Amino acid sequence: MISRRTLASLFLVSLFGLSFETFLSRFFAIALFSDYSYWVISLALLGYSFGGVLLTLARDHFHRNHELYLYLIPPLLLAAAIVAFALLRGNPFNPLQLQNAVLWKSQIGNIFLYYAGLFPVFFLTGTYIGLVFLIGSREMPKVYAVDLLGAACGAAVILAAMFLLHPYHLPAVMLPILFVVIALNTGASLKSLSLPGGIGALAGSAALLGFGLYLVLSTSTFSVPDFKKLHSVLGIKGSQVIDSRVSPGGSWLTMDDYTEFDDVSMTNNYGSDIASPPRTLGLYRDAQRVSSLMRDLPSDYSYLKGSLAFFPYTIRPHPRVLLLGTNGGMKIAESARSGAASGIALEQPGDVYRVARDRLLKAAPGLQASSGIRLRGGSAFSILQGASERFDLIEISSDFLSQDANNAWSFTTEAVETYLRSLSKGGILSIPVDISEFNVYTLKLANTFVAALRGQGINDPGRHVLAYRTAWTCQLLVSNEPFSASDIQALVAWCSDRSFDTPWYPGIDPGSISVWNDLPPVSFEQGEVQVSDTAQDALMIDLVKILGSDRPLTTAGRFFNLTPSTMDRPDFFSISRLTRIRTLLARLQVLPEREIGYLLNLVVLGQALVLAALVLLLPLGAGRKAIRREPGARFMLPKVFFYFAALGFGFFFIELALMKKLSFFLESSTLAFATVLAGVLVFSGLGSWRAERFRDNRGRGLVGGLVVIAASLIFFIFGLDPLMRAGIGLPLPVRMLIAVLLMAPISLALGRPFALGTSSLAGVSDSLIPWAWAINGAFSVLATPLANILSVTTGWNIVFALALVLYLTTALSFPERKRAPISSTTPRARAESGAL
Amino acid sequence: MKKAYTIEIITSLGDKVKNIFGPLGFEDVESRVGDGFFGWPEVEGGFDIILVTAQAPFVPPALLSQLRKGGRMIIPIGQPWKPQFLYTFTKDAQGKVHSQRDVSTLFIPMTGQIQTPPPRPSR
Repeated sequence: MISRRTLASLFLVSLFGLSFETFLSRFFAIALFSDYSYWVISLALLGYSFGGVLLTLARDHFHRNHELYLYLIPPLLLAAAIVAFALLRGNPFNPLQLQNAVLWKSQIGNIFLYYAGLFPVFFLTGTYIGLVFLIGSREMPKVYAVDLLGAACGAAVILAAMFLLHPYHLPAVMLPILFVVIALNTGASLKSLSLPGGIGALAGSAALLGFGLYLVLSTSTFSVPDFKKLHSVLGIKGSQVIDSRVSPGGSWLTMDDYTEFDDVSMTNNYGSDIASPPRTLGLYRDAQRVSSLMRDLPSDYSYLKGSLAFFPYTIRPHPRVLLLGTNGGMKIAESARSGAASGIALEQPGDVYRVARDRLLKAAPGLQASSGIRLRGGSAFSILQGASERFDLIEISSDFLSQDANNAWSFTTEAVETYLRSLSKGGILSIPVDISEFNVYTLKLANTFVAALRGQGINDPGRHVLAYRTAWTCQLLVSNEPFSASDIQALVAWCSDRSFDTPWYPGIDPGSISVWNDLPPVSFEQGEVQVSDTAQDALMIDLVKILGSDRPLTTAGRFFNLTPSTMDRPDFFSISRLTRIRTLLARLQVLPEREIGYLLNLVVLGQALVLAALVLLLPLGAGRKAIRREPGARFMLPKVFFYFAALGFGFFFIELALMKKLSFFLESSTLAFATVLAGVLVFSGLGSWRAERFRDNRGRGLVGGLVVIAASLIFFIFGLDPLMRAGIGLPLPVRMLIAVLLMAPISLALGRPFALGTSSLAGVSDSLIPWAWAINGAFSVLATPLANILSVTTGWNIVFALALVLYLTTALSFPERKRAPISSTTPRARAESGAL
Repeated sequence: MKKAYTIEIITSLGDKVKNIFGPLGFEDVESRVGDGFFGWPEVEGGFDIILVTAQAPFVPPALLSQLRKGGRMIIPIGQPWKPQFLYTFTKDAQGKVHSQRDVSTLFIPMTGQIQTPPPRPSR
């Protein structure tokens, strides 16, 4: 029977493993771009699998000497974690150089340095966990449950620490956990084993821990790589940090530097009656700029007359407004001064809301009361879904989309339909889109408008849309009623006064338009700009095609995928088509930064495929002898592979899809990540523990679990989106409870298949247990980029559907085999007598 | 070129620049130390060409108003967190401004008045 000490050590090592993985994602969010973090982490995660491979190849050796290895690995892991941190801290990797056709080679060594630093940590963690699986194979459900519960606690511990510590300092929480494991094992070795070490080893480990803590805590939180936006701002003479705070959502800095101005898009026809835009502060998350913040109430609002966002106030005077995003409170002041009668301002995510709220209290304490516009946290869905309140103007701020990935839900077809229903008759939705680099996002939003208007039964969507622009920004207006002739006349005259262009209004005659701000068509595919003697408007050419057509247009012929986002496919960015990968790679340097993350999924997928093949083939090649010694093992190989590969894929597909879908319901990516990770791990841990009931009939236990998994997934595919939209107005604690109730049945069932599969190998094919662990790990690494790609191309419901198919196939590949009668004196028989 | 005016904001640099043009034979160049944000309003009738060699987050209004009808201004525009591009602004016969975006650039930020916060409003 496996000892309590070993189970306690397993619990703590699993806790460390998951907390270290989560720490890495936060560390890389600051030290790199977050898109790059999974590239590095995924390879390191394969260290788990290679631990399993090693145990498969040398099972007998590890089984014989397991006490020695259980004693040796924790101090090695502590040392490896400290070395990993030192290498992370000192690595000069620059992802921008990696995107450069000339400089990319200089970064290969730095990537290797990351791998070299991180791989040993996960390899040792994986070897430790796999070793406990090997020696505890007779009690696999319990052992696996301890592993999962340890990981769940790891998630909870690291998330709690993120409220208190800067991401660079998080290892200060994790390293002592390893020291406890060392102390546990050293204490036991002093009593019963003649292993070297003892008190001396403990003292050495304590010294190592002390050094590690010093290294971690002495790291400056202002150490920012030079390719991050914050780096240049910190270098501006006189720049000041006004506020700093940490949370699981990020490391937040409010900066005061003279280059920060209210990011309003202004007319170039400045006259003496129009002031410059006002100074603001800048809010940075993980060293990237998120939003403006109010510095002071503007002393002169005359700039508003020359700003792009002002026009709706001229044709719908004194509106009741809903502001999605406030540019740190500036939009509240500007909307009020523009004539808004009253309204609601929403900030999302919660961290931005709290920073903006606190800033408003300092800079303009009476503004909300005097303007009648109240600032609140939360999404538009929670305010508008099922509500009878109507707004004359819904305005989305320029920072809103980019300030949090979760804000992309506000740009889906379903969101625009909700806005249209929530507008008073003839009310306007106003959205600015940055066109300084690329104008294709404007076209995607225009397609979204068309889809939403048609969804509302409107057959002539073009009559409901206006578009006007500067050289930097295109403002899109959409209404639930056709724009009137007077609205259109007002727009043309207002824009002409300010040298703004009008790429679309109903009845536009492109041939008669003279363009103020040259926007020539650019062919990304050819890498060419179509130069002309006269100024051109590429947006006008495309918007006339989209909005001037009386039939829905297909976007299939375009280089970028401009299909509207939906609740099931909510990413606004990620418009690159992977079928055009060669051209995308050739133009990598001009591809917007926000598209890079999606392409990196391919890199992760490629490297994970190679390594998964190694995990699969190494034991079959080098481990033939070990497998041959167990007659049952050879016949079980295909089943073990398909069974545990399906579990690796399926489990992660479900977990990732739930994280994304519930981020809408809980209005926070961070909260959804924490709730799903902890919930799935805890409930599947309990499910694994309870799987011991099926020791006499594992097949029945598996089928019972599969029925629950299938029923839950079918509900998720057809019922989750409607349920979330109906319930999003409920208080957050109630929504969290609903989320847990949704996860609990499927998670309990998800704990069964791995436990039942590995326990069925115990005593028959023991050497395959670490291999099963390795396969499961390798395919779960593969699952993440694959799920990300599928979610963008086909949607999350397809990811759920694939998980359903994968789990159903496990019924066919369940690795159970009738055992031949054997002598009760053999080790196998002894194992069997206690096995499930 | 009929006449050129150049402004440096750093005194030590501006003082040296003053003495460069004469020896090189450029007699029609006038220079001074000052803040380019305000341009050179004393020059009557404005300028046909204005070149700005520091990045501004927005076009300084004084420079646009000192641009003659038919004149051109070339200036790098952008904020630290956004891409920076060279823009050409042209003022037409009616005094309205046209813009044309050119290559992406990386100039250091403009200093001077642009970095001075406006007076606080009375509450």
